[in-house]
Amino acid sequence: MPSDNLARRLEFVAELLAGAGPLPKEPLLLWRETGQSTRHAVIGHELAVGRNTGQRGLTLAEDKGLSRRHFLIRHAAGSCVLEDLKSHNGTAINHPQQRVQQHVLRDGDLILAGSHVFVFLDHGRQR
Amino acid sequence: MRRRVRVASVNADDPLLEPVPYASGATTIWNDSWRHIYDHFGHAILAYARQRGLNDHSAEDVLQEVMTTVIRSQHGQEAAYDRGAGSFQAWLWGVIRNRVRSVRRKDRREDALSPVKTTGADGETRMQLPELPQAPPDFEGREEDQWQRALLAAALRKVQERVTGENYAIYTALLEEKATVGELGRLHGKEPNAIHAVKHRCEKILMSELRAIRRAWEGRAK
Repeated sequence: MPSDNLARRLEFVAELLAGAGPLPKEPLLLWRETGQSTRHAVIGHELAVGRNTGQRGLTLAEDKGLSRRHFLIRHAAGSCVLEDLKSHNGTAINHPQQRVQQHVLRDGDLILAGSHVFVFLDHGRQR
Repeated sequence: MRRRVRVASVNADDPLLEPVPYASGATTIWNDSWRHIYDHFGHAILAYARQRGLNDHSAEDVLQEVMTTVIRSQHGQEAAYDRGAGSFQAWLWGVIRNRVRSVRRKDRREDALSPVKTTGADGETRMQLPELPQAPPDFEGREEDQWQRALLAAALRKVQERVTGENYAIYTALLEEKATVGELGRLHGKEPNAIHAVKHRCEKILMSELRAIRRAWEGRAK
């Protein structure tokens, strides 16, 4: 039976996409800021996310639950792979209890890190 | 059991199937539409993915990816269903098959990476299907047959939800021809008439659910 958790996740994805505007076709992260605006970041070759990731990462300085370099998403064998960078509070996929060290991301996965919930979107056209 | 769920042509006038351009402001219609597809085909997509050899976890990944594609198309982020280009069910069927293949490929890649330890319980149980006619030898036909079986599995699950465990066991035993009415009567301490009554009740529910699935597949339900 499809889990209730999946239905709730899909509702969240639908809500975010409703306010996202046109998005690039590449793999990306989508999230909602505290001011309710929806933002996205293209992953490119790789993308680090944290409170202070340097110039090439996604920096979310206001989120005290994030480590300086919290997690990294990189391309590996045609997929996007998330790696937790030994963050203090950990990174979870789809459910707060599903903590991961490394995870092959699926289209529509939710990434829970700090106080943020990111949606991973991948049209899969490069495959 | 020789019933098959027929895939009929789509009702092109159904407003649910109208491609909605981005930023039209019709968020409610979009959300209703993906929920409509999720509610009607969620079980069938899971069952189909399992028949294609995926485990429960990967089958749910397929459902997630199919529904994410549907949601994205409803929000203008992906090539949406286009009435001029073909039927809705052909579009959805293509999405389902592509996503099953994609998850199978990713599973193979994932095996090559270090295994990931996650917590979380999965209480999913697998439905045992009655025998259906042999699928045609061609690959596309085999996939189509598996999809038909998945739709039947989804309808049987609805039967299971609506009758007692004992009655469902009686019905599936009859469907799979594992026992006769007399044998089941003796096993369950029931008169043959009671076994027939169970069979007819379950049959009625099954047919009703198959009709609902067929209507939804044709885009007419709701």
